[in-house]
Amino acid sequence: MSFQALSGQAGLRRALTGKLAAGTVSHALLFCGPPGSGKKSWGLALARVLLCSGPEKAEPCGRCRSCRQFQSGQHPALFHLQPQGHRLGIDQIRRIRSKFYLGDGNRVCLIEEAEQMTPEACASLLKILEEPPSGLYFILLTGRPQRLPGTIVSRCQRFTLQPLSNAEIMELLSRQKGLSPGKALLVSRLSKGLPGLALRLSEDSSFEEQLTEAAEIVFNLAGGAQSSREILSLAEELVDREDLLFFLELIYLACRDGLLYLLCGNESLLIDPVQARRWEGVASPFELEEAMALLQKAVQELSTTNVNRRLTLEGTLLQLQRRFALCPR
Amino acid sequence: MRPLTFAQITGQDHVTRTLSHALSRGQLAHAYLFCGPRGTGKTTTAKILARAVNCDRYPVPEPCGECSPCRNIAAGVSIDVVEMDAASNRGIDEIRELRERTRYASGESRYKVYIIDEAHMLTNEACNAFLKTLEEPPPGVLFILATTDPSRLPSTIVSRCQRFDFHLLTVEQIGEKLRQVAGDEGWPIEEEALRLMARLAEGSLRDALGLLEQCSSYGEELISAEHVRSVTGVTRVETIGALIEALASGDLEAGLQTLQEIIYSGRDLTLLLRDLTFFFSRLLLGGIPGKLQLEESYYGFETLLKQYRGRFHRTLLFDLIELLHQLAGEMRYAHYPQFVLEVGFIRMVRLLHQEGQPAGAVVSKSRAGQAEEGSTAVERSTARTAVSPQAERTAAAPVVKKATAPEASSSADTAEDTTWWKQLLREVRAQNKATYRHLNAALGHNLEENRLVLTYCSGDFAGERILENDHRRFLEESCRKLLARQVQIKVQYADQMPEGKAFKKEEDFPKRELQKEEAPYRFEEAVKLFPGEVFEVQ
Repeated sequence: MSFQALSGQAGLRRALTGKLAAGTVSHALLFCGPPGSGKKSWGLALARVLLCSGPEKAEPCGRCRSCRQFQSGQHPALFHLQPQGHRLGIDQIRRIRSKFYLGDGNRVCLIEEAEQMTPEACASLLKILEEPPSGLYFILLTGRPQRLPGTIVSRCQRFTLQPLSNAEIMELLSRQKGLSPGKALLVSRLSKGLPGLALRLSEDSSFEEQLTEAAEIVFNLAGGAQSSREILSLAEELVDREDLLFFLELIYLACRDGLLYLLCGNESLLIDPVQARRWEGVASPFELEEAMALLQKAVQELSTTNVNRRLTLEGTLLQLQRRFALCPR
Repeated sequence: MRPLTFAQITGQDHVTRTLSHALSRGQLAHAYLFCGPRGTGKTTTAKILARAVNCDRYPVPEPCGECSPCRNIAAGVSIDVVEMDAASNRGIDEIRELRERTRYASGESRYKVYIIDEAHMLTNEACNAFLKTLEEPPPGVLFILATTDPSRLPSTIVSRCQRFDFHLLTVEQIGEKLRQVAGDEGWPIEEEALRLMARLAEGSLRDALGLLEQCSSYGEELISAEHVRSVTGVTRVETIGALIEALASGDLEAGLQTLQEIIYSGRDLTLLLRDLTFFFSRLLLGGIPGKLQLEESYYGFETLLKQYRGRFHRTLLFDLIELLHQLAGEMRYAHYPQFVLEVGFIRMVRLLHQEGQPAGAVVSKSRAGQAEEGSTAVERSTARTAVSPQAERTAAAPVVKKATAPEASSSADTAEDTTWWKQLLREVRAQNKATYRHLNAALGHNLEENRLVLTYCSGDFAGERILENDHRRFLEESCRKLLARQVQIKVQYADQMPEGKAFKKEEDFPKRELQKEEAPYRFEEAVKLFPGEVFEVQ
């Protein structure tokens, strides 16, 4: 893995290579960007150059002992921290000190999903993050920098990974996956500029069907012809999906497309113009807006709290239909 | 990197001056507590204080920086200055160990100084174990506690220390410091870049200096505002201006396209929201007459603010800012923030475009409406017969009633302007008293192609209330049923009260008549629900 193999991010690339060449890499770096934006790839690439014993022009040599150890995933001076369960505890952070405080040569501590650090863990990281022993580098990765305490962010040099343009993603997809232009366009619009997400979507052969399925579900709800019993069984079906959150996102996007189509009709803003056209006369913008608020609330509950998935889903679907049917509460 | 004397510390004069005085007189407390937000100089001040008390020339207002204790401590090799990370060593055991160590005299220096950073992370037990030592430490021991969150320290700790509060730095102070650092390092820097960095640091000098360093190593010679923007993801003021213009003119398409640009150029959406909130709140404050001198804190938004002054209604600005706050909360936990922002933008446009046309137009329109109403007095009476009690009674279930309504209204739509209005009032009154009251307070109404414009006396509370979600939806829904088409509710404000309209037309709707009508309907409903007989009680 090297910088050359990664696509996009001209600014980050220039900054990192410049710093590496000048030997002024900051001791604490924070890479921000949503999941799939390439934080980890860039973090690992940087770690590898930092650890390499004879880097050439800010690229790892690939021959030295360190590079080989890195490639086999067993570099002793790379400390890879990941949340255990849903949190990164103080004990994990304390281990950095015991493992790395003394020693020579470069050491790199890569902390994934840094926003999952508990407040105690964050606080205990502060001192070593501000003035680490020489040669110790911290690379923090996070999808939600706003959830990190300001005291941590303020001690790091922050880099935000830029979303790739649709053209760049299409190029990536046709180069790596050989996708047809039509499908590549759809995937790139769905991918929100995230190369990781785009690649994952393109590997999933059924995602087009899922997109249609999601649109179908929400059209049926808007039609209002379904009985409550049917809706409940639909909820039962959906709740077993592993990718429920993503699927709800697809439903959300179907609504969003409808909303944009009804309000301004500019097809270049839409993800799937074919489906969006069907919204005409089916629902009003207000209804769609409310539906989206409902979906968003459900997704938030499902992803952040320990709710009963099935009950939440049932409630949301029923409420969705009711909103579309405009029954007065 | 860190300042080495009190004089070099930026913007905390109230702290450094007091400490300097105390040091030059040799009057020291045995425990200090430094509180303040991140990046304001707490740890730095603690380190300088540690050097000053151990300086060979003590008592001095500043550490000399030349004697061996000064140099040793600055290099971090002194055994008498201990920097403790209370966040990692926060238990009772660590504090007990600390207590043991304080019993031994200092080595080469005068004082043994313990700098306890992040003191708020000490556990309760640790704090309690620390109390006695903190109150009466052995001679030659100095404690300096530093924390970003003093409210989490027990008051028993706080009261044993001499407390100093560090303040957030102003934009000017940070800008000055940045200019100085850039000058010392020989980095050419744009004035705009400097101001932008100072603003984005939000009062924390460390953030500002980190940003400066990051921008300096970006690769090119001059540190430009564009650099700062691409490093921090802050949106150009011009782009924000385009977004605000789209908001003001209600141009959804242009606004959404601008948003897409912002999103795909990787801008920080949280910062964008913050800038928007800032802009609108300043716009709101600017409208307040008086001596508020805010011009110097506009940070590049000057022209934009001047351009939009007075183009938004005050009440709407309040609502808009509230909506922005709400959006910021939603975005924080959203799974797909960019789409939340899009919908948020649509909500903002909708919120704003219930705003009316200029006041003059409103008045003339409402007068015209009034004249029309006068001429249709005859029709009004016919309208009343159209929905006479008999007709009402025949329609037993509400569903049937609604179904017949559009026929009546579609014919009345053009000529008998008021018929549908009366019917609407009646419908609304029957179902929702609160909405009815706000609706009835309208001075005039005007039905256009797909919107219903209600005119209220300017400053009338009802005009705002009717736009609230519940009332508005209910009303729109009623209109839809009545007119068989989608109607948007808009509100405009009349400047002065049109004559003859001062008291609202409660008399237009004889109360008793309506109540009589309602009674049988409810009664029949009850009979339907609970099968039974009807008999009269004497």
